[in-house]
Amino acid sequence: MASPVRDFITHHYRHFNSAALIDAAKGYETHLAEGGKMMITLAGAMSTAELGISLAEMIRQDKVQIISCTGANLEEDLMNLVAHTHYKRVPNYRDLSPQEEWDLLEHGFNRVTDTCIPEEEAFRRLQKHIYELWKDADSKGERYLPHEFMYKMILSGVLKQYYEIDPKHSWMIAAAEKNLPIICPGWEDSTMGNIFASYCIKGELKATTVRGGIEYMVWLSDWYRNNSAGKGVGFFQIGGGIAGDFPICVVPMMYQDLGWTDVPFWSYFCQISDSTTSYGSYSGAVPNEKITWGKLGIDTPKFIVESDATIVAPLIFAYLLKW
Amino acid sequence: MKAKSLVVAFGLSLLLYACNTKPRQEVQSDNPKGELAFLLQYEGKLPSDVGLLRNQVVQRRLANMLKDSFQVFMGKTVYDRPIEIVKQGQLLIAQFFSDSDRAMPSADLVIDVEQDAMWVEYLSGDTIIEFTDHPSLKKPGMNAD
Repeated sequence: MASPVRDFITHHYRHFNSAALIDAAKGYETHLAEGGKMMITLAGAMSTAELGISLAEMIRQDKVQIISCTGANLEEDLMNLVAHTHYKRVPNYRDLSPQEEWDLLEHGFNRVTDTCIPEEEAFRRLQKHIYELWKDADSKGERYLPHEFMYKMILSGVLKQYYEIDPKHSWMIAAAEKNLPIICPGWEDSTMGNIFASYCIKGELKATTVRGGIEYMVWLSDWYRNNSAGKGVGFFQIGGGIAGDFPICVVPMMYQDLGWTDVPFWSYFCQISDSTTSYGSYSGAVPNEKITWGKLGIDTPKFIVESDATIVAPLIFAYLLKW
Repeated sequence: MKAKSLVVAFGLSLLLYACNTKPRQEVQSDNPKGELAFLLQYEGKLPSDVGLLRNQVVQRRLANMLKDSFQVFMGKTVYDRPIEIVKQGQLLIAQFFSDSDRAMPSADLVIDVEQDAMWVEYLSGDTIIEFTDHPSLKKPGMNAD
């Protein structure tokens, strides 16, 4: 079967960041072939960048076993699913004046680089359904993690009436259908998190109805222990931030804070980031710095592709999917 | 009657304590041996299956002992055999091979969990290179009990 994208990058990508991309993809493939598992972490606006087109297939083909993402990535995949035709592209975003930015707000658009999210339109379709789930759990005294509420909403089928893209391109649908484990640290920092907080302030919901970050970490420690035997678990980090740093810390947490000495390091590491090496930043730290934090071992294969993740991640996924 | 109730309550609290204790933690915290004693649980398992060389304690000890030779040693651990525990549970032996036929070991790792000591040997050409983090101790014989 022809793999034109894979063949193209294998032939042409030979130096600098392009070679790093191939090395990282080959390392990922080897890791899976030897029985390893992989966590993918999503920061930035990867869902709005429609990474779901390739990530959903990665999920369906078992090339990722767990995802860590920001609350924004969790909800923006669904926003694109139900309001895609209302998005607006602004190719000349660099030229916008403050007044033009204000006008976008007035028209219900929140801009991410060249893409404007029709948040009002999207949330008009999501809010009442997610509220019903929150309210139902709240009244029964039940508590769920943020992604579990999303999974319930997707699997109930109530969103099907709004689908505006091929659902095969939604990574959240693919994840829900597989009940893929998701870690969503800092979910509170998202539009849905803000809406949930507003209901708590109004006294309609209890803050405890949505389980929090510490509970994610407790759950992740158990998952890591149960999945790190053999080749172990790799870490494929898209962007930086809490989606990456929170789950990677499960390893030093178990070793240093719990004293569980039989915990192996992450067994593969790749970061795609447009942060160049800098001073004091997390995203701009070279991978070897993570050795000093007890996250990676000396011999953990480490890759860094210093480029735009919206270009690099789909190419690496295409390589792995033999597209 | 009161004494009997106390005995029942004590028994119940012991049972509850046992139920609430994470077994894996218990093995480590109650073990009187050194920090490597938890490795005894891997008897009969392949080092690659249990992540022996990716374990934080083992890797730290190896890295400190081998220094610049760490990567050389790791390069000789492509294939392995099940971990043996000999000398009445005192000695862990892991053998590694460069070739899949596993005819000639390319490296071995011996850990004396009682003395918290570690020895590494690997082949470099025809020469056997040896390391230990306890030079004052004699490397134990690797015969079974």
